[in-house]
Amino acid sequence: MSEAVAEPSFIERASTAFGAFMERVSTAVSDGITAVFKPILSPIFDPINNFLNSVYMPWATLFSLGLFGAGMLWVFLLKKEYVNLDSPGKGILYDLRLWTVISMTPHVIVYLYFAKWSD
Amino acid sequence: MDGAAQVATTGLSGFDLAIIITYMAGILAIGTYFGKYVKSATDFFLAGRALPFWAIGMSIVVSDIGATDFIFVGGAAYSYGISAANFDWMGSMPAMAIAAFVFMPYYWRSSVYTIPEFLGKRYNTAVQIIHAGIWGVFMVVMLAVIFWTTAKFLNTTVGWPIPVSIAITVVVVGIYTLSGGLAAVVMTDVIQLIVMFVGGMALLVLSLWEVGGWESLKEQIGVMSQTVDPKYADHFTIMLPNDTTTPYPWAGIVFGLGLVMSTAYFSGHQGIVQRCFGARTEWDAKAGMLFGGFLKSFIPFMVAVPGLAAVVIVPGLATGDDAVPQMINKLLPAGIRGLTFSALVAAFMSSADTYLSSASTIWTTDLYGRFYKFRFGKELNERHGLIVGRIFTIVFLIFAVLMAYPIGQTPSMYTFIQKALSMFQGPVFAILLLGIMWKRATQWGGLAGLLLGVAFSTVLHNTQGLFTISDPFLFVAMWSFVFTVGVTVIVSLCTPPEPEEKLRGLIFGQVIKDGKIQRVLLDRVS
Repeated sequence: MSEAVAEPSFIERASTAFGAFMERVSTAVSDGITAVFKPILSPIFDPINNFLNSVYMPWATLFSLGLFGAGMLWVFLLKKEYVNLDSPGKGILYDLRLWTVISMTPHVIVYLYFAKWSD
Repeated sequence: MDGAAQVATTGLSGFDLAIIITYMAGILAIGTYFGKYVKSATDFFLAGRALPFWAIGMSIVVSDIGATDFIFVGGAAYSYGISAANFDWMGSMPAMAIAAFVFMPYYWRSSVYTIPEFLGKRYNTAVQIIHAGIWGVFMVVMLAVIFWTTAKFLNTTVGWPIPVSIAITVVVVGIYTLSGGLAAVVMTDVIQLIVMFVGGMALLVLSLWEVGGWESLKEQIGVMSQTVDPKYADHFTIMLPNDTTTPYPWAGIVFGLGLVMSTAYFSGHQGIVQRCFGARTEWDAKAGMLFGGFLKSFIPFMVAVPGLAAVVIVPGLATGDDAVPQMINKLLPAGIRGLTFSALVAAFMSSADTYLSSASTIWTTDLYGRFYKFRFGKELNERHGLIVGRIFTIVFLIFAVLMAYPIGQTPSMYTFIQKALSMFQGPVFAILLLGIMWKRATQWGGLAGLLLGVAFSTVLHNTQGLFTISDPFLFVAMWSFVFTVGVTVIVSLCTPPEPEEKLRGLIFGQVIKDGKIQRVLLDRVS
């Protein structure tokens, strides 16, 4: 004897139908956009992608570390009064420039640790 | 939620269950306690502008890290390696420093409730309403998604029926958000972060213990790269080549994620920056953001490292998303398992309260508030704003309950909405940045930049084969940002400059260098 299969509820059927409809619309939109814009955009993006693909990986790692380094330097270029406006105290513990350096340090350590220094 | 469903096999002990129930009851009690401080719209939406930096920082982290992060980032680390952790490292601190020192002072000093409100002041009402409309819809739909995923999670772990699970989550989150507003949301987030850290750290320690320590883990995965699959060779490399087959090419990570997407997120996500708007001082707003960045540096250790350890402990999984749930099943003893489940429930609840609170703020301030001004010619007062905010909170709870099941059954719907939002990030960040940094940016430049930038994002996202990876959202964010900057600059230069009076206190150079304007701004805030 075969086991009776429960009929899907109205909500289940409506949800499935809506999902399938959205999928069809999404595919049609994507196909249309690709046909129109790929010939225009490829000549612009292909050379950029080729250049980025050829970048020597240690440079990419240095660039990422540079982003953190630049952030640490940048806060010291801002006016101290601007950075620490409304500070509850005057000591070094309340200096948000120091907080920035301390907050970024763990990130710099992990990027150094997980860096790959050869291509 | 395939990954979360895996935990169905755990068989929680009575002790685990008691921990989860105690946790939920505790959160409800603490959150409701803050209701007695809510007397006005400012109390409800901005916690009476009394939040200290530590609460802001902890709340930002827990709002940012959802339960799905635990499962999906762990899963991505299992499949692609430590490069999956870039979203919490490269995707946090540089952006959070920019948010702290460039964006927060302006939002805070201009006394705004929402990002769209700021855009409305800097550009015009059309920009405000477009931004608010997209975020308002996104947040309400996401609320339904979160209720559904939480219910599925509780159904598979604790065995509660889905309607009961939805009802419990809605009651707990709804009551404390409705009564205590942002203060309740932030203070419950603080507790939730502590629970999340304890549960996450337990999983990290036991994962490393099981594989014989960090060096042993590296060694074993190194061997697997030679004997099982060469893809494991890059599992401990943070930056991958641009033509990688993983979703994490270095240029997308550095430029798309580090400079555009994460900055847009931490400077423009209403749920995140609302905590800073509620700071007791400008210093607390900035310090909260930095403290959050510091805490976020530890998240990948709790999320990605167990995913890496799973490569050794549970190899050959069909999908990486099963890795963390499998590790929880396999490694955690009773009690700790209950705590870790509470951490996952905490992550769900914090996401739900964030979306509920922020959706109610945006709909009250930017949509109803603008309509009210248009219709009656005056701004909402504090009392009116509080009542409307609470009504919206109730309406969204009811909507989310009713829509949870249909949306849960239609993943393509919320995938579509998330995709729509991701296409919005680059252009919005471009006009935010130009609005603050460049005095000459005009309202028409901002409007054209926003509309054409979103259109360009849509084209990039849907043009197949333009980038080497299948889901190029990082590159889309990067290039749509560049395009929007170009459009905004060109249109601004072709249209008349904005009057000085309108721009007062909204431009970076003025606020840093002009003492007179600084005094006006400080008077306005105080």
